[in-house]
Amino acid sequence: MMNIITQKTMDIPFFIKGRIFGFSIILLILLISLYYIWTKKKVPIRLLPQVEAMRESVGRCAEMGKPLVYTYGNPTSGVDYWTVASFGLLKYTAEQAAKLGVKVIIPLSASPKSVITHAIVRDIMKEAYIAAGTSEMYDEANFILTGTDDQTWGLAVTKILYAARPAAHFYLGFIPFFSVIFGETSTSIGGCVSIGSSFYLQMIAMTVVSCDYTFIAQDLIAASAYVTEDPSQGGFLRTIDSISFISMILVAISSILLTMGINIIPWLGV
Amino acid sequence: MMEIFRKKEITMIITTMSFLIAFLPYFFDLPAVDQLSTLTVNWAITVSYVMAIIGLIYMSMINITKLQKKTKGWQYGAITLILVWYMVLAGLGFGTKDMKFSFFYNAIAVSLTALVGGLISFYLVAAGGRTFRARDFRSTFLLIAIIVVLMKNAPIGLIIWPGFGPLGTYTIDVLVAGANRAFKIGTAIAGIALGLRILIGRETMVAEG
Repeated sequence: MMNIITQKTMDIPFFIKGRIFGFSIILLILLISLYYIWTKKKVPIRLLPQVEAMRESVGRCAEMGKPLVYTYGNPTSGVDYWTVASFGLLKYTAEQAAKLGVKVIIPLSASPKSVITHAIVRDIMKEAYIAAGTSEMYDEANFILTGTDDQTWGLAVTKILYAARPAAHFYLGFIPFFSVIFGETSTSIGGCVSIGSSFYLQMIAMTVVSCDYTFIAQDLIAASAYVTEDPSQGGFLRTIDSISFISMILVAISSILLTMGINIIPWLGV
Repeated sequence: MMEIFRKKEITMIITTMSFLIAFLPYFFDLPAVDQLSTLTVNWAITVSYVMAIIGLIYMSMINITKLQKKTKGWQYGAITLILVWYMVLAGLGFGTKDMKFSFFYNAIAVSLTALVGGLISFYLVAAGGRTFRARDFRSTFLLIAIIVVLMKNAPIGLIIWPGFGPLGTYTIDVLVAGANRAFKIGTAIAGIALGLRILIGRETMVAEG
């Protein structure tokens, strides 16, 4: 470690050369986020059709008397942003399901680092049932422990789908390549509305065609911000959009300048 | 006493401290904090191993309960318990390079993984079949891209029209790579935003969990 430290070249005191631009971006994200938190400025978020479909699907489960399966993924790294966004949507689903008396089956990931998610999921479900005054409906048996790696986890969820025959399956969160299998399974069960997402870019096209509604990339965060009605989450969404917009401008400008023979990358690598 | 550790504030303090210890040496030249960061990372690795042990105990408890209550699928619980504890004891007793340990892994886990890989390919074919539909203007774009890339990779495609080669390469190297990078930038920004959100205590679900 000491060798690495001595190899670091510095132009600005205390700063490591080549990382100042990255630090500035993080600082900018923090400042914009804090602005929205302190001002409590409400960010308008339009209702996504997927969210509307989620509400309708819970109602459909109640009408058909069938359960709903909610898969938040297999977060092997513990808690990532996909999982956090999924928890917001799980809370919304749980509230709707508790009001209508729908049974929600949740496959729990068994990977060692995702054990932390079990307590969060249980709390979300318990609070939703208590808030709706249907705490007797809360059942520990609805949390099913699945596999540790992607394959055993995915197969276990598929088995749960075939056994439970739900009227709706939401797979939102850290969903690997299994998203396409979930979509196909939901279709083969028959009468099962599938609303999915995937963090693999290569799988998004497959997910779009194999399930009824799809959350693509930041859609999941936007939907989570919409349903939780948390102003700070809306602020974070606006921050992400602002930085994405700045990144787009930087990419466009650097592409034009590079075409003209001017390379600005060394300037950014200060 | 244990209630103190369950407090959200304690979680937040530990999270913030860990974040700063890992974050600061990446951007600033602080040798002392850098050494502390290495130590913290080693702690995190140790904790992750402890979590694996907790996971093992948790999984065993669930399956033992399943066996006691004879709930549906208890037989699978019995198989899981036998295999898992055999692997643990064989690994500890004979070492991970011994045949008694590696046989079960190679004969069961590896072959089943290959089986799942084969199953997935059938699902992908079924999903691919659904993709070949021009339902609207945007899906037509997807269809055209699929045909171009398919024809580039299929030997017959280049015989039909040699232009599929450069067009397919352009689609993969420029259009797909561009979309991939945009996706990765978006994911990275959202990841940073989540990290900061947890750091300043706005992500209550994580802290309470």
